[in-house]
Amino acid sequence: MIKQDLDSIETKAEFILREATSRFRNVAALWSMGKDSTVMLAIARKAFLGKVPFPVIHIDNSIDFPEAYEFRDSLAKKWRLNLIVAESAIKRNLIGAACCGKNKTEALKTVMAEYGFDALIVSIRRDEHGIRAKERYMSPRDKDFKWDYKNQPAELWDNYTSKLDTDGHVRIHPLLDWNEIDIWRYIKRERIPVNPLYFSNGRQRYRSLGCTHCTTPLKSKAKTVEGIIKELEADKDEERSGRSMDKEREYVMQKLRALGYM
Amino acid sequence: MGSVKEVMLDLRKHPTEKNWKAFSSKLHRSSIRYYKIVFTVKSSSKGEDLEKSCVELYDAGHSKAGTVPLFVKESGKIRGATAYLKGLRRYNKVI
Repeated sequence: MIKQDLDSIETKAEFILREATSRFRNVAALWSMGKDSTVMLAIARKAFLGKVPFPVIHIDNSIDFPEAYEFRDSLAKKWRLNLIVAESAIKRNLIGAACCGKNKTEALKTVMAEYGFDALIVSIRRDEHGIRAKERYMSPRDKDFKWDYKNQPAELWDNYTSKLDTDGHVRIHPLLDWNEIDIWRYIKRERIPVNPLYFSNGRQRYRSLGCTHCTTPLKSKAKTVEGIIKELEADKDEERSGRSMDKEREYVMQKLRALGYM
Repeated sequence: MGSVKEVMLDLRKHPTEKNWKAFSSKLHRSSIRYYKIVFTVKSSSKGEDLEKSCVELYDAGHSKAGTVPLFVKESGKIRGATAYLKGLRRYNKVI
């Protein structure tokens, strides 16, 4: 796994966050309490003199891990986050990626309409999944949240698209060029608190966190950030191999994402 | 309001929000420390599986203290209840 220069990628992420808040009228960020979105919030605090200047949305499907809820509440209080919890219903007869995607997207649409957000900061990375590799740093969505992945704006040097042609919104991806080991190295360097489920309980830990239904742990003895970094340096498995929704065929995932699902 | 065991029994019969709140308030003063979520059926539909799931609760010595449902059921609608287990840790006994 390639280790990038942390100062360079941090500086770029700060730049993208500052650009987003200056170009868009009403910005919010998604926070899943995972390591990536927590790193994004930590970078935002650095970029904006110790505070997170935009609301932070948690899409709650009501079966996240208890540790995740505890982590959410304690960090929101400690970092004085403007936290919005959007409840996502669990509907029957929805299977696989559509279950997570559709339910969460509906909740997100409701909260975006209610608050009138025109830009949404999302902490995805290109190395997580093939579909995410197609994203741009500033990626437009139409009013139905649909993503035209075949007709994306060019992002040459540091020029990003921020003009909206429709009533949609723009997705901001400040961590797009980070990789998994960069995230953990940054967490170690900046001493960023993370969900304790990432650390081994003696035999297992979670490498990627979703809800209790869709996430499986992996065998690990890594109880510290240093231990996780050493494990990643030796590991060849994909980060999201424990997430059942990612086992859907790539084409299906791409289709769902293009149709406006998460 | 009764003991933790009585509240757990109420919760198993009627997993309403009121009973979950009562259980949550008792939980932190009890000896229960760990949870283990058991999906007795793991299909690809989260909604279908939720009603067939349960949470096993364990004390600090890893002895089983009882089971509760994983969901809140109110007016025919169902949603997850893991937020009410805040403060507990994932069962970690190494066998």
